[in-house]
Amino acid sequence: MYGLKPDVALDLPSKYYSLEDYNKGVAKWCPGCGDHAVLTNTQKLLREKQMDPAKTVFVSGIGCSSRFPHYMDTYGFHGLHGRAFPVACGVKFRRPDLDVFVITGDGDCCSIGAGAWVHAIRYNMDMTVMLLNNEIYGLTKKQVSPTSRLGTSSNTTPDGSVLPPIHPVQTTLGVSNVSFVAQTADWNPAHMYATLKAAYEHKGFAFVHILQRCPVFQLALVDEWTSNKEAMCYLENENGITVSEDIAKTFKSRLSHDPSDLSAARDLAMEDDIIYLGLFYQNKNAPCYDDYGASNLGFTIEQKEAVLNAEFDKYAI
Amino acid sequence: MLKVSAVNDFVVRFANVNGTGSASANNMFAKAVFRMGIPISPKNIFPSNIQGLPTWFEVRINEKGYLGRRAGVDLMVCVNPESMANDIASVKPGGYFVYDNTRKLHKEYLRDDVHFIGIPMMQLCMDHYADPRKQQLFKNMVYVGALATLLDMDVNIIKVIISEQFEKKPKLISPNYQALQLGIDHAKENYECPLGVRLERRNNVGDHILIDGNTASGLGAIYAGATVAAWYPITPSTSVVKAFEKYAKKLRIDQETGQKKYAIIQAEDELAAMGMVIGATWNGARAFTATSGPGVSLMSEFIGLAYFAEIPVVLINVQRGGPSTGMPTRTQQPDILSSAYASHGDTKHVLLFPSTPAECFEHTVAAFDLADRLQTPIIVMSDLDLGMNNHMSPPLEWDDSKKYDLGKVLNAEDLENMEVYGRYLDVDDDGVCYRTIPGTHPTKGSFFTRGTSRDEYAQYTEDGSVYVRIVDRILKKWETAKDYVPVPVFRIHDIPSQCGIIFFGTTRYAALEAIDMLEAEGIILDGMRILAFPFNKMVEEFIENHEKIFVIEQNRDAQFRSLLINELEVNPKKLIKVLNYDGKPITADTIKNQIIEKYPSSPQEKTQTAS
Repeated sequence: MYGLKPDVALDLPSKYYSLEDYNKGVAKWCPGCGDHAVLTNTQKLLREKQMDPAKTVFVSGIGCSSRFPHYMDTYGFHGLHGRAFPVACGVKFRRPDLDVFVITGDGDCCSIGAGAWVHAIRYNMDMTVMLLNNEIYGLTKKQVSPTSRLGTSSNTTPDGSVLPPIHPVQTTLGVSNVSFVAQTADWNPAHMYATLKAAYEHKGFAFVHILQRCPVFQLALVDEWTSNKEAMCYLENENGITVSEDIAKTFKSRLSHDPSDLSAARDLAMEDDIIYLGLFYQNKNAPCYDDYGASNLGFTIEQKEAVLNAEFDKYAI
Repeated sequence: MLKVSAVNDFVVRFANVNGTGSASANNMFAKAVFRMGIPISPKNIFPSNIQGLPTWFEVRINEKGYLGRRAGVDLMVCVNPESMANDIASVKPGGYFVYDNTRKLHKEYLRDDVHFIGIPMMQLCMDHYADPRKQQLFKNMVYVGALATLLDMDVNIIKVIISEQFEKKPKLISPNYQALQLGIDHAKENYECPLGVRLERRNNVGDHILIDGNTASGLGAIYAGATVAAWYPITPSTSVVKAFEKYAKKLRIDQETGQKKYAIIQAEDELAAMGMVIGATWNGARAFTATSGPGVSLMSEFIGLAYFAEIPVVLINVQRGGPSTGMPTRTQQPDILSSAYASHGDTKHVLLFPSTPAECFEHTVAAFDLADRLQTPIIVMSDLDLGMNNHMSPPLEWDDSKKYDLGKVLNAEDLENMEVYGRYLDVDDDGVCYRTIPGTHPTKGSFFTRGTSRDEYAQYTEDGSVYVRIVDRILKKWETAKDYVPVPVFRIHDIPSQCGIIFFGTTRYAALEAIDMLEAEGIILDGMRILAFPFNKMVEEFIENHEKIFVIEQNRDAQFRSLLINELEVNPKKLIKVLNYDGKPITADTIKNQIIEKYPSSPQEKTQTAS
């Protein structure tokens, strides 16, 4: 594999990475935007795991949240609208040694990127995916998104939206070979942090759905989310995502849910009235497509030459 | 110190932070100048961002009516500390810099060749308003008031505009008047007014209106009878469908039932949007989509289907800086070739090039008739500058006696009386065949549509000779199109000239000004503004009749020139590139300077050596 030295044990970390080492510039999101909190928590995770910025990649599409890689002092790829997943899959397929993160929004993932999203779930490549869902198009100034709830008034639905929304957790849980689905909220930093950490530690496509505030275009939603404490339910389990008891106490309701139970996870995801924060589902044994892509890496020049010569010999007269 | 002096001929630029309400104040200023009878050309220069980044608003004031952008700032109004250093640097020597002196200017920013005019905007607002949001908003009105005095504007006009603006929120009128007055008084008491640059009432705008191209396109779609719009949000085209919706709500509601007689679909992406348009037009609706470069890329496969299956489609392409995501909030004309030849295989598409909001309106209307007459995609090539900025425009005109031309569509009776019907039979020998709308007749007509190769009766074929016959017939339609599309507009000089200038779309403003500037320097150019692709005989003749022709466009690769060379087999040496592609609208100076630099000493000789 690239960069691995013969005796890994001697390769001591030469540097301690602080938060500043992961931060680049000043984030240009609106004041009060949930993106800021996700950025901070992500940087904290990188610090805890002491990820090498040179071995970490953030891939995004287009939209407000897709600016994310601009503010990470790691490798970054700000590509096309709806196409973060294919780029990230390409990276992971060839460079399994890198930590790959995908940052996408509700329009980027669930609208224009829906096709790529479904297949990325099935490929189950080892990457951490954050869907920052504010239920509205921000950058093009307030159009309805596929995740906007019924009746959302926007520039394209002045009389209110007429279709029920896509629920990203439901959808992801419905795809074959799904391996990790969690939900958290940008205004609960402790829970978000624990969720991102669990997602990062999962080997496979770790999908984190983040409920995310847009104070400019979805003010009413922000109020609803943050004031209606009854609707937030903490999913707890020894195999789930655990926060400290102090944080857990802030939830009015708690539910024990076994994340290995896909059918129970789907039932929870179908509930409209309660928002569950925590780990819906995890399968540590789902096949990862990148395991196959990486299988031809790590050959020495001599080994490659031997294979080539063997092929050429077939044509020798 | 040098002092810029000018009456009704200067550039004012505002430097703001986006999301602070400055846009409405800036527009009031521009509108007030316009209502003083002086032509203006306002432009927004904004980032791809919602709040907190620098944004500029630039107004060229020119009583002669030159509406192109002009480089250089005579008067800067800066209320954004972040961009201040650059803003000061961009003022012309002898120009004026109006700023908020609630805080002192950094010494290193000062220039001794610029007149600094401090107005304590924030302080005045803090003294008079308690609410921080109001302090922020009324700051904008304070500088409008200061400008009114500094430039000798008609304050009553501004007041009328304020009262119109807040017609529905009358409570806001008097605090706005108050803020305006704060600015007026402060400037009066502290500065010698007016400045060297100032305004005088004129009567030079006639019956012109201020309108942006996207609104005019949206309205054009309404007047053309469009009932379906399918699209996906993308800057700078989003406001086309927004305008369509706005007017549809007023004009397309069934009086009796209150039901909508239109459908607007926000699709999941541009690809789907074009598919939906095709589905709707195949069924006889007038349907359209609006997008920009990245959307055209995604729609290309479907555009090819519409071309080959011969389905009418209208696409408004509001171009922006490419390639890829490029510069989403900057203007260019970079999609000429990708639109002209969109899709794989042998395809070419009719393009229309509006240059004013009035033409956005007319061309959008024309596009629907052309699409139906030619049964093919029609692309209206607007751009960000035209689409999103207000322009002084002739009023939009509509002839109530106009009948839509739906082209060759057969009804049930026609089908009954026909012995033979073939969807792709060229009965009239013009390349355009007769179509039927699904549901017209229980058994007759065209039931099946495909993107695969087929014969005259819509049956699948891989027979080479049949295929060639079909694609050659579609090419015949292309020849027919030359007679249908709008003809060029000429500006032929009295003095015979061997040199010409070709321009299209928004290069018009700067090109017309450059022609006048060059004439003053003894360079005489005949002008031709092209309004459509395919190029017709008149375009060919103009090129034949001139030895050297400058082609003005706003992209790096001179795509329009390539299109002329490719389609008309022009000697490339004859067509000289004049380009601007920095994302800002081209200026007359840019055109003039490039032409002077490239102007042949003897046009005839040079062409002959070259060929």
